[in-house]
Amino acid sequence: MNKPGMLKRNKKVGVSDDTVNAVVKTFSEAENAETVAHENKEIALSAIKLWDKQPRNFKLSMDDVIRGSVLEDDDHFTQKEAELEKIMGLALSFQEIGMMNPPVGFDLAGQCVQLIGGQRRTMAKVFSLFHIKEVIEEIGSTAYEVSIDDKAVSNADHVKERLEQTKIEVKAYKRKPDVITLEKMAMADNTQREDLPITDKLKWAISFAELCEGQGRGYTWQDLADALGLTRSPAFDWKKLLLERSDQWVEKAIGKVLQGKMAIKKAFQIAAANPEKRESKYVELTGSPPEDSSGEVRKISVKTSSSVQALKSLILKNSRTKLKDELANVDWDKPSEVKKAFTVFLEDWEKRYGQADS
Amino acid sequence: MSEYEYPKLKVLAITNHKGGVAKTTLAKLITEYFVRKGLRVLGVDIDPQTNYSMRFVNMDSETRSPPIHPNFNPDDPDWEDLPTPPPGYWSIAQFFRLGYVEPYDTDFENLKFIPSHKSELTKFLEEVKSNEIEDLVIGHMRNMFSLDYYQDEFDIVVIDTPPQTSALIASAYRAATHILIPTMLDEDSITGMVDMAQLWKKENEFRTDGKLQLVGILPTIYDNQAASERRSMERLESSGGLSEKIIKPVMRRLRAYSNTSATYSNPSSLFDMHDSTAAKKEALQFSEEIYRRIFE
Repeated sequence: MNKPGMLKRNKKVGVSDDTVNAVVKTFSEAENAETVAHENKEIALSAIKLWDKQPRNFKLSMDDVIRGSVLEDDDHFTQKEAELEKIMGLALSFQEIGMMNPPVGFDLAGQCVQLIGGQRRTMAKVFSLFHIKEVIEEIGSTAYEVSIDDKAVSNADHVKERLEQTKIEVKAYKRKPDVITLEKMAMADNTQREDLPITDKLKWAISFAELCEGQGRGYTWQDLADALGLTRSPAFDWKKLLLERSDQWVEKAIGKVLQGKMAIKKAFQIAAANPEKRESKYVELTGSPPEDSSGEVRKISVKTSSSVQALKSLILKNSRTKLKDELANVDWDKPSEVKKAFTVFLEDWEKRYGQADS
Repeated sequence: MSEYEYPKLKVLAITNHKGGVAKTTLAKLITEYFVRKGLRVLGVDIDPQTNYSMRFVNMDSETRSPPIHPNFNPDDPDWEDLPTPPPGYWSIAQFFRLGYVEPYDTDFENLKFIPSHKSELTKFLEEVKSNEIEDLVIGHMRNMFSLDYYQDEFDIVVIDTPPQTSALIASAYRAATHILIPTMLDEDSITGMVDMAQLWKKENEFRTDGKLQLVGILPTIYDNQAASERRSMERLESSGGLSEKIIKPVMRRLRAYSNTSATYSNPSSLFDMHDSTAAKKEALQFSEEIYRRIFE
């Protein structure tokens, strides 16, 4: 109907139905929100705080990763180089197959996350951001290779910007776990790693035991099983070792394990023995009275070593990247080739660390 | 004891991310209502604008800082336990920075007050490192209110919040047992409630128990002569989820509210006006409704 004299009113004045519906929905969600322990979310690399208290011995810093190399005068050059190589391998595998498990952390204010586990994975993501290049192979397929790109990291503002723009998935806990749970989670995240040395596990277990005792609470085999990825029986062995660690023979055994001179299983046996039989057990398992062995260093002459495999392993493990590739191609079954390789390795070693005094 | 329930204390945060919706006016009214009801009340102002503080504490009108506390003794040996010596006045900035504050006495025997500080609070927030905000700001207020002093000395804490999303608001939500939302009935204010509800949801997802409860939504500065506001009210009331959350009577657009909310108004309180004053009548009614929803 068209009535020119009638005042037309806009019936749509006021808050829209959509807005009211949005309020109803969010209010209902808020009111009925269940406790959420954690959630997986996308976090900018710049907002991920690394965890200083890693349970493993790890020296590589984020600066090294961004730079793509370790400074020659770094105090931990050898260890860091080995760690960086593993980061490179991890970065390549992420490019090929993606990250299977996201790093774990807990929420900090301002959309930041404090990492508990997944330090290396995060570093690998940062490394790949600057130093992994995509290449097209002859057959047309895509491959990835490490290419240390100094230009990509020469501008600090540019680096910052890329870290802010690149997000990765992180499993973030809503609340900071208590200190004991934190320790367990951090170890549990590392324990599946094949290269995690038994010394790191043992050091962690001792500090965990001290932490629990300091808080006036005990620790169960289940705590150790969860954190160290053990079944019930080995977890009991670990618990016994920790409980008896103030006994002088168990303490000595632990010392030897930490020096890499004794298998942890022997330490378990000593801890499991009757207190008055521990000395004889110790002597039986170490083959010498403890007085004689204190501070003693067994020398192995390379000249008399007949194990070419041990020599190969020693050389490759302590060679820098380029040299390592070269030496890996040596025919290790030919004594003359092995001799040459050892000479090359030794020259490089002396360049880096100087000549031995004697 | 459950982790997120205080033994006795109630903590009410009056909050809306949008400014100008009469948050501070409502905070002042509800504080006075609780006081007149005989409750032992602690007023806490976390808004650097300090308007809530100006009502109850003799603030410096230029610097917006509180006066030297009458009981302050600079030689008190206890100050050695604090991270830095206290300045002599106590504000919410010291509450966060030093982990201690002495609330001010007010004209009401059963009302104590922790005032805000215009510049110091902002400065403090700028200085906190991002990885410390969780402990030093967000969780701090709840930790403080969990202390025996606050649990024993007060029945309710009323917090006036700034109109923004910040760590301070998150701190108030973490500390609160209840939130009260004043809102105008316009598109922006109602949309602002969605953002608030998201923070409220986040808080409840964090808590294992003692979930944060909504007291209600109080429509403010309501003009029933305006068709748009009437229409908005109808929509809110007819939406299944919100109708019971709306507190009635609403706070209408009445001059007596703004007149008595001004810092140096006379009379200084709406409740001191004549009983026939329309604003006083409705303020008594919605305040009683708020009281009932928190305590009954």
